[in-house]
Amino acid sequence: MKKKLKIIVPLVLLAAALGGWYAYTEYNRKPASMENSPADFVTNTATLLGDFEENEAKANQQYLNRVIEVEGAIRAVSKDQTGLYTVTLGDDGSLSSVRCSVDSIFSEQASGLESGGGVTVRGVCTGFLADPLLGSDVTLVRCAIIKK
Amino acid sequence: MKKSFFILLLSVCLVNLANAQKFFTKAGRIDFNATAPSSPETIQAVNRTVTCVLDVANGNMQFAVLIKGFTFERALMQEHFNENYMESDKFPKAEFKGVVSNNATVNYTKNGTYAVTVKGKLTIHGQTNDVEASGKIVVQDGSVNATASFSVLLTDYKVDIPSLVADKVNKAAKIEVACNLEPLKS
Repeated sequence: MKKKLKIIVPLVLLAAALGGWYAYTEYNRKPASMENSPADFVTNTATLLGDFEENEAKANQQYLNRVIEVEGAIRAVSKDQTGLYTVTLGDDGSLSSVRCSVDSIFSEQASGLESGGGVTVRGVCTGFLADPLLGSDVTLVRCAIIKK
Repeated sequence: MKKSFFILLLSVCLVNLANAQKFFTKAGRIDFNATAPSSPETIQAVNRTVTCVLDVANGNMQFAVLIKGFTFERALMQEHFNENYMESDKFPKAEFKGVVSNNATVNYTKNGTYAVTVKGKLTIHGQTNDVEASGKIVVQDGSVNATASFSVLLTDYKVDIPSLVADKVNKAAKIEVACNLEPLKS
């Protein structure tokens, strides 16, 4: 009996410690940085916009909450009042765009981007907003600047 | 031929005039806080991809926000928010359509700070309710900064909170909106 306890007690303690460690790390887990997250889809601005404009429900199923790596022409780079950047990808003549809300750790890289240039951005797709007046946008958040 | 050209020109001018009365942003900010007073942890998130349009001629105001755009400090909290509470795969957007009820008191051509009340219909989680919020409009050199703060009862929007975490999540979530609006150019 004593022999059994000598084996069981450490095992129970080890399981409890592992369980506690897992719960602690899971509770404190931060949203993953896009810098090293593998992309679920590698695409370009025209294809991504086209998929949402053609069938939003289907595109939502395909892209929502997925890591998208998108390449395209920079239409605008803007900085908000808190110093965070948004990079807008799309053609100048179009009302449609892919709006990339840049992770604060990539602010410096975003500040060096210029309209008219090309860039590859990786971020999480949060969806599509279409407005007859403002045009339609696919939004990516927590974006990393992958290639200038 | 001349008549058609004149009508076309007039239409373009009218569209330009109408658009000049509209201000917009696609990078507005909403802060969400549902921390219960007794909770040891803070339940808050921010979304900085809010679309807003304000027609200064009549005070009509519209917001649209993607639920998956709310970011939390903790990934687990963000996953629970999307999957268990807001069901953002099923209801990916929230919308507000309303009006600045005292729009006539705001002079959009003169720099200044104006207290406003906004009334309208807010749709979250597929449920639509009337809301009223007090806010502030700051006119500064051609741009319009709009801020508002209000609370929503989670039960009004059929957001169910499991009893296990009921002591951590406030029954009323505080919503703060901040939008720096630029004139809409046609």
